[in-house]
Amino acid sequence: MSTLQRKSRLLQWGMILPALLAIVALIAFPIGYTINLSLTDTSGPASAGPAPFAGLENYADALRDTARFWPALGRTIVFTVVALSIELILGIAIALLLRKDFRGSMVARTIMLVPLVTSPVAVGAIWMLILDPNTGFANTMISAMGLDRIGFLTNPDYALWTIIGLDAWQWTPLVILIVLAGLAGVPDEPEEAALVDGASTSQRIRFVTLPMIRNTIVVAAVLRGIDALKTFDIIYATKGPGGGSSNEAETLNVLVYGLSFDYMEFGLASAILVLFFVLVLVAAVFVVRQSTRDV
Amino acid sequence: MRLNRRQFLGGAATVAGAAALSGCGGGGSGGGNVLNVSACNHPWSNYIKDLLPEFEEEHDVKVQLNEFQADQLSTMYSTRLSANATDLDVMMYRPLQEGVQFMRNEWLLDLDASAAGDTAYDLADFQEAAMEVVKVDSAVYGIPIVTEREVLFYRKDLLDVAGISVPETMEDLEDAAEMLTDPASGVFGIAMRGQKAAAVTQFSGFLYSYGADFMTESGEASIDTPEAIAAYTMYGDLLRNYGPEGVESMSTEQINPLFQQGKIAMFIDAEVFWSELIREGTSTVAADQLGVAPLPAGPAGSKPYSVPSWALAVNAKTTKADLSWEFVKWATSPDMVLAAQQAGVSGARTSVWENPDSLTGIPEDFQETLRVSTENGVGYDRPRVVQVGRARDIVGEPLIAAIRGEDVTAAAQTAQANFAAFLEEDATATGE
Repeated sequence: MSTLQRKSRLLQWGMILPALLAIVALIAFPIGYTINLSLTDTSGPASAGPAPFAGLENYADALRDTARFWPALGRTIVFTVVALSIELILGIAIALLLRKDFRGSMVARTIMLVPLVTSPVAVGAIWMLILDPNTGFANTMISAMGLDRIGFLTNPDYALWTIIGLDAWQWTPLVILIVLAGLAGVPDEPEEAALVDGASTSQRIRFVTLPMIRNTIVVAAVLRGIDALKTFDIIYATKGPGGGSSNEAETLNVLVYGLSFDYMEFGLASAILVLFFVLVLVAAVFVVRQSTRDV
Repeated sequence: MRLNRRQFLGGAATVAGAAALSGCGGGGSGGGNVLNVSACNHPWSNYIKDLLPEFEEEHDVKVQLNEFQADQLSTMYSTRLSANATDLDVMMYRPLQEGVQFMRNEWLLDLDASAAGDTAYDLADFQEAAMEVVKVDSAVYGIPIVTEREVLFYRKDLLDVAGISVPETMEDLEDAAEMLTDPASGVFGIAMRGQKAAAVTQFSGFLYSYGADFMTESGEASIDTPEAIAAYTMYGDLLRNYGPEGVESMSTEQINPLFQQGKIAMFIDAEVFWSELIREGTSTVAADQLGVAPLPAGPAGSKPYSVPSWALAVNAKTTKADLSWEFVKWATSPDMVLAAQQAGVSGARTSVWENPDSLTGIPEDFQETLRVSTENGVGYDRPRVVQVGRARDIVGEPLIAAIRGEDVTAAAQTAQANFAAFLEEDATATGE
């Protein structure tokens, strides 16, 4: 190797070194540390010294836990699939409505963004007040109509569904925003051609418009889907530790938080986090694969 | 002035360096003469807040009082202290909840050397039972600041209208709750915590009054005895039949406002909420409408908990150990404890309790209830283990089954098995 080559090799490494260091410090180290924790029996402060090596025991414990882990995994999947479906369907529908300018369309678009810029904890607090079974506005209306009060967030049978509704209320605007951006780049001609050929509105949307913004929808689905899988704030804000007294809204994230900070079971919590990480990764790869198959 | 390239780069590097260094400071207002006091959002903190300038002036220091909800405070401590934080100085903590864990992890400073020699401070003045939970052998890791007893709050006016007397037994309580429940006017007969983990402490008084306990004296699980099942059933029945909607999700944060809005006839919880329930401007309940009585008696008598619920400790890693102790000393001095007690926040000093003036600020029935409950009280309100959080979730399970009207016996048996398994693990954790 000539001196020149060596110098340029050195320069190359020098140039990428800062980025490399940042990645190692901010991404690789925490993941590595978590994996390491998951293989130990850590259940106390990190300062107490290394905990005994436990091998895959934490993973086995998690996978055997039919009381908390599996139900939480189930709820995480239900939450993600249902919330994402509602958000995509509503988001695309509303975006199609808002696509053409009309009187007040700017106002409508602005109002639509309000939930998006509100903190999920504030959203949780506001809806808890509205939906409170004893004093909330919603239940005052319901009982004024002579109906039984509904424990939207307090009844263990409804809580998860209500939170899915809140998630949809907050995040549908994001899908609208992304889809609107996609629609803005779509030319009018193909639709006009379809119109001339006698296609109905639904046919035009289904066979002309949607296929043209397919990639945009995939982006929205992946972004929102991964986010929904990881939802923590609104669940914790409305249901507190353990996702409620019967763990009725406990998703994997809420479970891991409780294991870490209520029980100090950092080893077990890390193992579940690693399993969760794999789940998110698999889901993301699956969605991207499926949707880019024949594009 | 125009900067040349070298000057500009030099300046930029200085700025970047300064930013990086300040970023390493560990967050918050670590610098300067600031004493960080972390506290729960609690009547005691409200009381001390107004008096801080006095301490600040005397010691020429700024006291930064950071308030959190109890659970958040606990989480904050475990994360920050695990990471050896040095900018936490004085810490308000729950000896019965986090105490064993904190002491085991060596997170708290031994205050014995500072306190023992000080005759004016008089460490021996603190109630023995209260000191027991903040000590390991002769080491003193905390100074109790708040003691709490479980009491029955009731609306005198509503009981008068219904023509019933103050419930003295659990049966009386159930009858009264039934008579006071009035769906038409939106009044519920009784409210108590229903949120699984939070409810455990309030349930403890029921457990003791029915002649049961979380554990036997030899440390074995005992939550499926007939007495325990009867206690679970009573607590659950009361809430299911006469409690507010959604009670399973309720702790004091939800119940206090309902009581303040006049929707609750009776409320069993810690006495410390008394001032909150009648706070002017927030509550529609007037002081003379609020009665306080001892916990109604079960088959084994009236046995409420009577516990040192909060204490002050100093972070073992603090850089301001002396100043922190000065603060603890000031906040728990005989005069301060007396004044707090007169304001409705009961402390743990024997001399204050013996002082006839210490309860002058509160009504007669409240005073009497405090005396009786202190006498009959049990010194803990949750299982005494290392992982209290997990234990509360386990022993709270049958409570939820009872509130939902499910099979309490089956739930208690399952919980008993889980609790026994947990205790085995927990004992290993303590190295016992």
